[in-house]
Amino acid sequence: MSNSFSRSSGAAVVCHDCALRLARPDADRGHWFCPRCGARLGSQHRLRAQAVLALAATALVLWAPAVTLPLVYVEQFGASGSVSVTSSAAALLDDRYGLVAAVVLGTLVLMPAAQMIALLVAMARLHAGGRPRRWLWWYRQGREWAMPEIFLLGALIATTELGESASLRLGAGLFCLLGLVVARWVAEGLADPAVLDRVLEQRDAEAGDAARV
Amino acid sequence: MRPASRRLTAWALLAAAAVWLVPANLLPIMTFESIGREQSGTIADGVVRLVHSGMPVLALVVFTASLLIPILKILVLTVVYWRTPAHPSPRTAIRAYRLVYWIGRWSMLDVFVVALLAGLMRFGKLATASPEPGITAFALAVVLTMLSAHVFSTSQLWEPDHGNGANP
Repeated sequence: MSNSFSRSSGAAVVCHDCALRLARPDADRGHWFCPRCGARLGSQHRLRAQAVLALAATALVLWAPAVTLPLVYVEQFGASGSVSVTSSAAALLDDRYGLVAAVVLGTLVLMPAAQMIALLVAMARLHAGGRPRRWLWWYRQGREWAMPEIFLLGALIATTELGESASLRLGAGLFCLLGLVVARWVAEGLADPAVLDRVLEQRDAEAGDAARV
Repeated sequence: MRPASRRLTAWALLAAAAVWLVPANLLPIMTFESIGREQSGTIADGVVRLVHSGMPVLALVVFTASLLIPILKILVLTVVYWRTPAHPSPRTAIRAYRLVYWIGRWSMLDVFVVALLAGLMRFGKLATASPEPGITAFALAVVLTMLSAHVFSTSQLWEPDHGNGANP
C-alpha cells in the first residue's frame, strides 16, 4: 500500500518564508533548510497520511466531549459548581463580555474542529492523489489559532489557585481535552507544513502545472 | 495584497495592539468576592498573588505569558517592520520574528484563566469571580498583535518594493 509519499527530485521549491526559488536536492538529505532565511524546507520523515488521518479522527471524536463536558467540579462552603469550555463562554456572554466569549469559542471550539476536519479531508484527498490546497490552508490557520494546549495550562493555573480555598474534582471533559491536545500535537508533528508543501509541488510538477508553483 | 499595503496593514494592527495593551495592564481583569470582601486585580496583581500563595513557578509562567511576551512581541515587531523592506540584516530579523510569532499566542493564557474562574465561581454562595474590562482590552491586544504578525509577509525583508521577480 502506498501510505507514504516519495520525495523524489524534479520539482522546483519556493521557500515559504523568503520566496527564494531553489532546486530540490537530489537525494534524501533529512532535514534541509533555505540557504537564505534558514526556514526548514524538508524533513527526514515522509508524510504518513493514514496515520495523520487516524489522529485527526481521534481528535475530532474527543472534541465534542472536551468542549461540552465539565472540566472541573468545585465545592466550597457547601456550594458546588462545575465548568466546561462552552459554559465558561456562556458565563462570559452573560456578563456582557461578548468579545472575550468570542475569542474563547473561536480558539477552543471553532478552530480546533475546523483544523482537524480540514486535516482529515486533506489527508484523504492527498491519499487519493489530489492537491487539497484549500483544506491545507485551513489546517495551517488552525496551527496558529486553535489553542487547546494553552487552555490546558490555563486550567492548571486556575485549579491550582482555587485549590487553596476549595476542594476540586477533575471532570471527564479535562481528560478528553488532554486527549485532544495530545492527538493534535502528534498529528501536527507528522503533518509538517514543509513536507506538505513539497508533496504539493511534486504533484504540481507531475501534473505539468508549472504555472501554479 | 501589494507588499506596501500589507506592511501598512501590519503597522496599523500593531499600533492598535499597542494602544489596547495600555488599558489591558492598567485596568483590573477580574474581581473576586469572598465572604463580603471584594478584591479587584490587574494582571500584575495576579502575578503578585501567585507569589504570595507560594507558587513562584506558576507566577513566573503567568508573568512571562501575560506581561513580558506581549510587550516584547510588540517591540520586536516594531523593530522588524521599521527596517523593512530590504532589511539590512534579514536573517536576524526573521529569527526574531519567528520566535515572537509562535510565542505570542501563549499570551492568551490569562484570558483562559479568567474565563475558567468566571465560569466556575459563578453560582457559589460565598465566593464569586467576575471578569472586568481589562480582560477585553488584553484579549484585543493579543489578537491584534497576532493578526499584525500574520499579515506581515517575511519575503519583504529581502525584496525592495519594486524588485518583484528580480531575485535569483
